[in-house]
Amino acid sequence: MNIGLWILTTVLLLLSFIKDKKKTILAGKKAGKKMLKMSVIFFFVMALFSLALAFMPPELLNDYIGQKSGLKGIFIALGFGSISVMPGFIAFPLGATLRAQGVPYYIIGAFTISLMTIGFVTFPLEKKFLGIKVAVIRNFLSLIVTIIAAIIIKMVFGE
Amino acid sequence: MNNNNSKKGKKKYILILFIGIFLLFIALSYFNNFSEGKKTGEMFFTTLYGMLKILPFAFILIGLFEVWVKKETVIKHLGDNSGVKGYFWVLILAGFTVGGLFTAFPLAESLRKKEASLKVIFAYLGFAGIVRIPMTIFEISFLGLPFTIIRLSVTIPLFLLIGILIGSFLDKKGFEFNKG
Repeated sequence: MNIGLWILTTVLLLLSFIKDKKKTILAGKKAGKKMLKMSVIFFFVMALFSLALAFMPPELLNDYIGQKSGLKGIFIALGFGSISVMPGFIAFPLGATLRAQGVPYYIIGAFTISLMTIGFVTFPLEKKFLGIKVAVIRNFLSLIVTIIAAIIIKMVFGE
Repeated sequence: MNNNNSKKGKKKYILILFIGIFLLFIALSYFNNFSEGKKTGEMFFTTLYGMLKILPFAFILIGLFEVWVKKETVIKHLGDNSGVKGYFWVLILAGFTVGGLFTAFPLAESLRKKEASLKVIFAYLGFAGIVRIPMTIFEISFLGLPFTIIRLSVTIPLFLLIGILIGSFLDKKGFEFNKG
């Protein structure tokens, strides 16, 4: 999986460099700036997360969001995803870490998809633009999509 | 603005302080053979190592994307947003959404001013959550391409459907955006 990413990035970077040096350097600068900007919060979240995983009894993780947690696990993950706001560069590494701990893809999916589509925190903003009724309906439908997607991920990965 | 910046700076220092204490805790755990602490350290450094193999590449891809593809070209195509084409272009437009709903709503409102249909606009609001390209690059890098393909092939049709349903329902009701 990593090798694919390395090759793709290298090839695109070379192509870009051949086509336009200035633009490529600008892209590199943008990438560096973004990485620097996220580094502190990234280390912080990773530290917190490894503390939580090390001190939490493994059975707890297993019970709530493990292989056999099923719908209960989906709803727990969905709950966390709906109320939190975090950028992709934090959410997906967290997902990968959970995966390494044996948490199935469908649970990670329930978390990341609800994170993307359901917004408790952004609800006031949504309400302002759409009115309360439409905003509630939209978020409710997003919730249903998340559950459907999680179940399909579960089936496809045979978890 | 200035006040806001200094607040941000303060928060950053607290976070850095926390990370410092955390690293000290790990070092002490190794000296004193404290097993939970050692486990924390192991977890932290394995994760970090895994991230370092992925993050720089993902960020370079995002940088290249930002430099080479311009949002404005996509918006130009939205003039003829009748029919299927409109949905296609808002799907692409949603790929460019940065900052999630905070930028999606103002954009949706301005699309409405350009007389895009409510169906297309609500499809866009749904898509804006799920197809953002920088986010998807991270997703593929960390969870793998199969995961992303399944997720997109399930969520895109469903949010298209939701957009059409909400849009046509609201068209009948004579809905307009509240002034944001």
